Amino acid sequence: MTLLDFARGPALEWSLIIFVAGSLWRLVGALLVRRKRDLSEPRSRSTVAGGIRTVFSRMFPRKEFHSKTLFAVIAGYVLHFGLAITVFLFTPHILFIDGLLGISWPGIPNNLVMFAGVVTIATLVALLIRRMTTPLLKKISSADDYISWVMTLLPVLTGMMAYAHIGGPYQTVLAIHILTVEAMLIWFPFGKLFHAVLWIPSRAQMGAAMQRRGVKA
Amino acid sequence: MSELNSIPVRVEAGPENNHRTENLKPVLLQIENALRELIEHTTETVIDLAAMPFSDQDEHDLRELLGGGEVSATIDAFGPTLVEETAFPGVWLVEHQDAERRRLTLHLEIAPIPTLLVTPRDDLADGLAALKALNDSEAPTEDVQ
Amino acid sequence: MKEEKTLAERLRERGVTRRGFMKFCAATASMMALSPAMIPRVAAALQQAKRPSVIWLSFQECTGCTESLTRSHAPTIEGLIFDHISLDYHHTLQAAAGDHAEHARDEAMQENWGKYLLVVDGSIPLKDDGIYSTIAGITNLAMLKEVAAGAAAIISVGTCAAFGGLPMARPNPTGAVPVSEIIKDKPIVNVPGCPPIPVVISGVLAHFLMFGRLPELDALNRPKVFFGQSIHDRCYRRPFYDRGQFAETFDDEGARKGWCLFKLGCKGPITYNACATAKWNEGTSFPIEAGHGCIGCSEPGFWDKGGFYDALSKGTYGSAEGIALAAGVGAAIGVAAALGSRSRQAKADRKEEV
Repeated sequence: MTLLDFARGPALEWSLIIFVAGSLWRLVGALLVRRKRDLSEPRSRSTVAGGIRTVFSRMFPRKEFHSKTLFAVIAGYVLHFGLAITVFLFTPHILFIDGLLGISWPGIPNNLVMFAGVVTIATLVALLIRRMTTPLLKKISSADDYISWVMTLLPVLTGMMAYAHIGGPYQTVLAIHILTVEAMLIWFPFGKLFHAVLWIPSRAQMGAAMQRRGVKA
Repeated sequence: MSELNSIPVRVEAGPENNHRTENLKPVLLQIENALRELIEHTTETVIDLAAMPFSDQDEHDLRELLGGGEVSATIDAFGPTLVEETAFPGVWLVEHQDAERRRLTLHLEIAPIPTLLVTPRDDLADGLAALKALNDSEAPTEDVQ
Repeated sequence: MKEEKTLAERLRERGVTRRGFMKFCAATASMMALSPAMIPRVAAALQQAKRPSVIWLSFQECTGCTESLTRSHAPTIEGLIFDHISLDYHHTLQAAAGDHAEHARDEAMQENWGKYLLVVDGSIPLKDDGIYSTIAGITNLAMLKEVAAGAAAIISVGTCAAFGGLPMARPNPTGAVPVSEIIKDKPIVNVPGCPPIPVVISGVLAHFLMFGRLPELDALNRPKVFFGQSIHDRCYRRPFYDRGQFAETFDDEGARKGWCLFKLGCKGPITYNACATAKWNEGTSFPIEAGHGCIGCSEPGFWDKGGFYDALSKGTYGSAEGIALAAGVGAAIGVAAALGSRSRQAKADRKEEV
């Protein structure tokens, strides 16, 4: 079995299993945990609406925080859009998801995807530099942060290397690309990357709790 | 089977007609350099167009750009070979075909005359021997029909 | 009796003139992707090329490789080169049969010991002492070892001989293996393809004829000159791939316009062969040009790399059911973890209230 066969076969199967099992374990485990009972008088009972509002209200920081956070927020959006374009609008990726889930959508020309990929990598590097040079961020950054950064960068980098046919024989680079994606899938439920799932219940829970106390959060 | 015959058939032009590689310009520059070499050092050059990505459209464009010259010849050896001088003296298009007129290869030869047109020296010797034999054995003219 | 005429002399005998010979050399050089500057060297080498004895052994094969090589009607380069070798044993092409044929093989081997070329097509079964393919009562395994012992070099023609091919596909009931798994002490060239392009087979023979040795090989022992680039890198439909224009079915608008066949399972990106440049049927066309994706037939194990019509980016893992099961297991663990958490929380609350 070649490296590529391994990457497309058993490695893919097992990484998907760990990804799905791990994600559901953490999500269900987090949702079913008891919340501290709020013994105060409820000022409002529309907590669901409050939860939903907070999911959206936190999408952009309030004016007061701009000077400290605007770079990270905008860079973050650029990064996430770049990732979305390279992952979900590149035709071979769409075909992979089609094979897995049976759904598909039209892709965009490859050179646009590559442009998005370059922007994504540049933004990732910029954000890492910020993390490592800003005193506060340096202090509070953990192994989890750095591992999650590596797990995000490697698939994009190796994917572009495979596309450009650099770094070795095409089959090998392609196999490495698929293996880095699988590594990310395995890491995903257990580190900071899981924010991709948790951001909604996390914001919603806080918004609901604040709504009960009469605060529009 | 009349139902089969009633299916309309539409012939569409293949996509290859419009496909261009990026190799036309480099080839033209190569010809320019080769011509310079020929003038300065009498070095002859052969460019094999079958050995690089070169589409039908590229060949069509090349022939249009190079145009035609004063000489065209057909060699009949191991199948036909078509020799055409282009509008640029010293630049020849040589298409080798096999006995069934299938292309073997397409060469650009930058030389005073393409190699295959020049009579091989050994053929000259053979020809002399044959002609001498003919002259030596010549019978009285009345018997020659 | 072996004639010692050179290739040039044989061509003259067949009425090929000196000019014809020069043209033959030019065409051969072009076919082997040698620079035109090499044509004089090719001519010099062919002037002296003697007739090597070639023994062709056919094992677990479909005869497609031989068919591929003999499908020309007019004298072609391949035909002339193939004619020049002394094919002393070949099941399909030889006139002799039975004991006479085996005797001819033995004679050729003795006369040319250490110098003959061994060409093999078809894989070799190993299961149950190799009884699943025999010739004249001799197993393929035994015959291969016997003939290989006196060969100068071995050419494994076709994916079956080179990499195991169809007989080796899952579940490989006969225990089929390629030649290189059995013979370890002779130079082996793999010329894969199902079948290989004729000009590739004769290109390797021509190289051996002219230079007395095998051409430069890649990591899988395939001649780099023919197998050095992937189909994808020389495919004329590449601009469509780059622009994201794909045919979705075999009869849609995209298919009619000749768009990229990636979505229809084309394995061009991971297949190395000369199909996109040398093409088939003397340069007529190749599968992609005819509208069908490449099936990767010159690569090892191509029968087991997922479906021919599944895109390359599709995984070849087991089933979606397995992953759905994993989802269930994950959820169950989550519930169990949460229950554990909740009971600990309840205990802590009760402790507080007291």
